[in-house]
Amino acid sequence: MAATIISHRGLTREVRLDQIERYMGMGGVSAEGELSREIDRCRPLIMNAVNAMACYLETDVKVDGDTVDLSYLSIESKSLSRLMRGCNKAILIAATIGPKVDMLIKKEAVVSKASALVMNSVAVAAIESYMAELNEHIANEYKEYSLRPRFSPGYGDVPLSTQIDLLRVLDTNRKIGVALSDTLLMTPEKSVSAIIGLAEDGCIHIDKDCDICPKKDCEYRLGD
Amino acid sequence: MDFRERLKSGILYLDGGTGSILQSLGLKPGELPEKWNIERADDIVSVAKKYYEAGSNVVYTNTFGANCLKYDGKDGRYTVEEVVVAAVNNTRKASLEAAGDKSDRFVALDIGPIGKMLEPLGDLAFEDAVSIFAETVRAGVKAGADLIAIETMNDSYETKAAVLAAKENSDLPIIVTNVYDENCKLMTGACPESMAAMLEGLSVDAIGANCSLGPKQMIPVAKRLHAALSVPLIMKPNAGMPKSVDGKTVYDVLPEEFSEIMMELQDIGVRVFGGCCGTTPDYIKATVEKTKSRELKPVVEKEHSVISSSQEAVYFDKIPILIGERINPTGKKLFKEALRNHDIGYVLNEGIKQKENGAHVLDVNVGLPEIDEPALLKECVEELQSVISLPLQIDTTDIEAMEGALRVYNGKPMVNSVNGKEEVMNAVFPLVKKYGGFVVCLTLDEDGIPDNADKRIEIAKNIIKKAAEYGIKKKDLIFDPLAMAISSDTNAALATLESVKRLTNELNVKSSLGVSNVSFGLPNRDFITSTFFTMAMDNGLSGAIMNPFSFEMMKAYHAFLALKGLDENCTGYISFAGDITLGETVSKTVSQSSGDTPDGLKGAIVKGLKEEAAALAAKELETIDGLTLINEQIVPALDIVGVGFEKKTMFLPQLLMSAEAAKGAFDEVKKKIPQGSGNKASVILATVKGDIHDIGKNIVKVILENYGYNVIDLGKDVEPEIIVNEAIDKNITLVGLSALMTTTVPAMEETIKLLHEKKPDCKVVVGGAVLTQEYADMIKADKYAKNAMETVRYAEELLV
Repeated sequence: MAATIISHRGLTREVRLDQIERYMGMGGVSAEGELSREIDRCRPLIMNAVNAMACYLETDVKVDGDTVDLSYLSIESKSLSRLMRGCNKAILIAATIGPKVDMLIKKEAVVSKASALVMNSVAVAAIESYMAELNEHIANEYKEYSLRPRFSPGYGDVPLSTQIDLLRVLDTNRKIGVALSDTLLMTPEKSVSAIIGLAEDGCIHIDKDCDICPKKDCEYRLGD
Repeated sequence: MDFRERLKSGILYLDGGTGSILQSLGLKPGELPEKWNIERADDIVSVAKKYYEAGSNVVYTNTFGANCLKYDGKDGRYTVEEVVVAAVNNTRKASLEAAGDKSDRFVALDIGPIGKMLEPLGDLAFEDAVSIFAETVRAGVKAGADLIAIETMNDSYETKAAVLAAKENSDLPIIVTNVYDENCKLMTGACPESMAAMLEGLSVDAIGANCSLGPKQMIPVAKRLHAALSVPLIMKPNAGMPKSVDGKTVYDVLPEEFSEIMMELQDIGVRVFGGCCGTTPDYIKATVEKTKSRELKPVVEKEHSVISSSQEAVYFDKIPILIGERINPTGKKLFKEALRNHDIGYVLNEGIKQKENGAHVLDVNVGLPEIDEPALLKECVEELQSVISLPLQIDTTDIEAMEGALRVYNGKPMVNSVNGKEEVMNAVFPLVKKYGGFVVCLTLDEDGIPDNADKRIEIAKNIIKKAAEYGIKKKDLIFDPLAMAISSDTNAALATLESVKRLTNELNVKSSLGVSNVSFGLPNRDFITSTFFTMAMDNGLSGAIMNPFSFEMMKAYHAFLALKGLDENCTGYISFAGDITLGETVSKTVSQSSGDTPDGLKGAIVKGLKEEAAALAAKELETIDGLTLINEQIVPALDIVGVGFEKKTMFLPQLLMSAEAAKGAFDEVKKKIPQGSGNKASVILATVKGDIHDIGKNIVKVILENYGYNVIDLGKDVEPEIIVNEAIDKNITLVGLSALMTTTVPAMEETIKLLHEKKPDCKVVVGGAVLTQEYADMIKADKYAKNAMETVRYAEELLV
């Protein structure tokens, strides 16, 4: 069987104001006055620069102890193996909102750090929205499966170095222009790579992605 | 036949996709296909043979990702040379063994992207990219490739690195295809016109597009490239979009439809055809059958004069082009100081403001006797082009600085300048030819500046002749007949205007002027300069080096365009002039806003109103002294915000907006108080080696500066040694380090260790998304600051 890397283009979901506020560290408080005007100014600028692109690949999953075999790469991890238990397939996915967003934020930082922070928050909200949209898209394509929460290299005990194999398998540089720095940071900056388990039974249910993250003191953490 | 000759002589066919064919033979996702050159050579030869037999004249070697990052010869991996030599041999073998006419076949060394993002968005330095490509090129030359095919590039900067490597390490023909999306843009923003300008400037032999789009979607790209190019046009589309059907990859455009659309592309002017992802020898065969006997459009030399940035092309044929002159230290005290302090932010700000005021191109001159001009010019060009989409004009008389800047420039640059002196032409023209520039030619020579138009035209003719000897076309020259002061020679302007006219009409070349010289020595210079500008434009001036902040100049420009029929529906003029009410002053807006800011300056700062804060401070300073203003209004306002932040009633963006508003007020105070007084201690900030995220560090910087600290910002991705040396040099006792990811924390640890060892009295405060108190303790930081305010409080404890 030849594996097909599927491409996806375009963010159609709205980027929610409460999410932008969340990434500005406002924890549930609404922006008012000058800040609210600044968000209104920055949001369309970032959204115009967004070039949402994703690629994903379906793979079989075999879990043996702490080893998760994803056909094209194998990961040793307690946290991932626990999450993948019961899954016989998974989606390997990478997405980005493109380099022009990075350029715009870099430019804004020259003029105003406050505006750059607002733009950065809009951009984070945009890539997260896009991931949510992709999740829905995949859920629609795999109606007979339930989707486990997406799991990215760096979560739990999965080392960030897993990025190297994951991005190579997805051919992200060619498909969506996502590359890795020597220190394993993704470029463009607003990019996400992940593994989404597909289970025929929906036994594990996690409401929010934050629930699988061990950093309990994170200021962006969604409340219980 | 020589490939360059063959390109000119008629239609040419490249190969189609190989990735999907190799996958069907068992290549797995993530597996390196280039290994097959050695391990499954027969399969590679067989695929290439099928393409030659289908009618391909050129087959690419299986070396798309064959670079020294992937093939380093270590731990049992092959070297680049092993892979490339095997690949060229395989394709050569196929060309000799495949049935059909063997004389019309070529082997192209295939070069794809490195797989890393270039600086400043990524961590790969431009010169490192050139070196990586160079190694592959040298191996290909050694193995006997006939040409170099650079393909699937989605970044103009990386494309330039590859072309330079090819040019510097071989004499082989170079063909280049980029990846465009449906909006005709590369991923990093370049358009067909900007790519055409840069690549033609670099003397690439054929240019086009491949991958990402199907043939139908490539039509707009083909049209735009064809309109821009004077070299053969290549199209190598995908077989539509891939779909997974019953576990198999299926593309939605079949050979018949593919070849039909290739005929449409042929009608547009495409001369070199091939396929990319999903295409097979059947697609090439069908395309050859359909297009071979049809009429081929000739390649037409385009006469336009053009420069480009990483994003856009600017043509000098339509309207006069405004070249912003503000990035230049001449006569500017603050600018000189910024250069001496290595304040790149100041330079960037000047650039951004000029763009906002309507400049089309930015002149970049950073020449000061006491600075290292080659290093600084290169850095300024790199930084400017990473935040501003306008093309740059490299302005220097230092040949080393010129070459360094042209090399790293992301596009086809404007070069300022050459003149009629033999020595200068011999130094500048080779650089213009190599890096593909558009060069300003001053009409002066060994005898100085002639006082009449006749001699200036003579010098221009001489420059055109000399440029041609270097292979530089007339369209890549723009003549500056030199504006001289009318205060010292009444007829100076007339001689210049006549020269502009004759350059335009007799020599049919472009012209440009540094217009402001004309008014030297006179009061209200803008009155004279702007009228002279209008007169010069009416005589055919194609560009001006000018001050976009000058209202008179912008007024003259927009009015001229509107009157000359160059501003359709006067939209440009209306958007410029529509909001201007003459006679109204800024102070009116100030008093208005102070009306709805009952708290005055304090309120403006708390609310984060930058312009209002500055205006209010200026007004207050008319009656009270600076120190009182700081102590009674600015600092208390900052305290309200700082405490609010700590209590979580105010949040980071508000803290920053207030900080910037306060800075506006501080700047007004600084104008009144001589510098030096009231300065607190210095603090070094840096994002550690390997980390390219700097938003957190920048936030801390703004807040620290607000609390009066002098921040030495060493930037991002900073080597430990640089931080330590700076701390020792300036005797710094507090260093702030930022890191975003766990992978860069070791660099932080190393920096701390070195600092504690070499400068034991220096404390280190750390912060960043990944850090926690435990981490900070582990790497022996003196302090973990959870946010910007904690850093300020720590600085207050330590430094007072």
